[in-house]
Amino acid sequence: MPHMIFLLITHVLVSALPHPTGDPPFNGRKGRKIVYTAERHCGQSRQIRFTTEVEQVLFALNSVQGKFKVLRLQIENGCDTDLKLSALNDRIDIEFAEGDVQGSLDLSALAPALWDSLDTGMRSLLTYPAHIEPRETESIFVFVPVSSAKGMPRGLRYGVQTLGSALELRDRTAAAR
Amino acid sequence: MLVRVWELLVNLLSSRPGTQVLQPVLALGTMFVSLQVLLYEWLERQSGVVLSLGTYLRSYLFKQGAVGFIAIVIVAGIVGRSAQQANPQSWRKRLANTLPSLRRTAVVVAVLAVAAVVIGALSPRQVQSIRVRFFGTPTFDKYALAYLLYELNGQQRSWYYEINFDEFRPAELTTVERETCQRDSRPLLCYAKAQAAGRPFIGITSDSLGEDHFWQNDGAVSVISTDEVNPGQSPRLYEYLAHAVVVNSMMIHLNAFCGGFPRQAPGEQRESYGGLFQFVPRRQALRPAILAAHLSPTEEELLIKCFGPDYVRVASRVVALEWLRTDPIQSELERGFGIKP
Repeated sequence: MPHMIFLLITHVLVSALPHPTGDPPFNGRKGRKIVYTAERHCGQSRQIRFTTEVEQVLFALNSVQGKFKVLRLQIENGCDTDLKLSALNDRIDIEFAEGDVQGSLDLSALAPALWDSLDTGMRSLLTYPAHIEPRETESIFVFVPVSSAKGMPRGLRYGVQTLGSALELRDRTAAAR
Repeated sequence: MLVRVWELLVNLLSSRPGTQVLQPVLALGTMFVSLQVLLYEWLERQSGVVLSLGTYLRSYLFKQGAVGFIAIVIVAGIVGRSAQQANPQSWRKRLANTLPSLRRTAVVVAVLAVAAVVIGALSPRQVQSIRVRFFGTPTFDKYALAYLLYELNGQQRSWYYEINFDEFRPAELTTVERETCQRDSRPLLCYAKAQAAGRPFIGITSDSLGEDHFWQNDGAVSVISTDEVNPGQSPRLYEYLAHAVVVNSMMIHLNAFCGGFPRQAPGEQRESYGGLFQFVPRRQALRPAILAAHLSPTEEELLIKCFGPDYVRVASRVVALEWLRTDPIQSELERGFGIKP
């Protein structure tokens, strides 16, 4: 019986210790991604969630043909209606330390020669969608000229015409760092 | 009765001098006819289609049977001769016969190899899977159509519909492709060709096709439109879509793998018998054609010649749309997609 009580107390104490799972901000882990997020509500407990992840080293090193930095913005439409998008009417700005830079949502207009060199599948992936269906997740790709992308983005401002005011995508863990 | 006739014939041939030379010819002829009868029955059972004698004589199976039969007769002749010579002989004679017997073996192998190549060349063509993509945002439930296409995939094993759920946008094209298609009189078909990249492809849209009402086809590429379909009338929208996809798939397979489907003479057509590949003289004339859709004997012959009995059996079943009107599928359409029968 004393053995049982000892085992029980040990189990309770071990359970109370912090688990080594998850990604606490002060664990010294290298390569932590910065996650910029924003939400827009659409009815009861439903929302559209916008997320961009940037890893510092890769963002500094990688570019498309040395000309454009690429950000992948994931849009999770949790609403019951389509989210209409338009490459002509929507706009995205990336905030850097030296100022805001307008990103391009349409690589075919920004760099036609580069666009034409891509294969059909890649062009299909990179084309700005016309809408995002209810309960679906899509990615859009934002292209920023390398010459303007100095340092890490502080945030993104994404204006979707059908949503009204622009969304501010911020690093939500910044305050905790 | 037939046995009696056969006996009389055999007696006649064996009793009369000079007729013995006809015996092997008659034997071979009988074997050939028997083989072809067996092949005909097999083909009929496999395809579920009653073939006319003329159709069968033009079919790949008759030709394959003939080639195989000739090869076997030649091989049997060579082996038979060598068996006759295989009487007890001295080792000197056997050694002297080694070279001719090697030659005979080589001839047998060559005959069988040539027959195998010819039979292979006469075999029905293998068809490729067809990619399906939506052009623009459809006014119907694309997932309901996907369900029907998956049901069609379940009807056969040799090829499939592969669906890309990302709606096509002209912005995906290269600069040259976009400019070319904008100038084209049939821009949607032009987009489809650019997307197809030489492989079978069907684009489905709710937009108008301009001068054409229901679909456009060029080679291995088709575009189907629901713009002219009245969803309140029979056949309903999904019946129309299933019919259009099945018919266009056959046209694509015939174009891509068998020299094309039978086109009518150019010019305005006023009459129709409701053939699958026939010009529809009036928009409303497609409705009865869908409701009574079937393969005509000419179409069966064409498909069996090109793709074999299995393809024809599946095609005649799916084109009739009986599978779509069954209770399980109708109830899944209603339960899963809110589409009422």
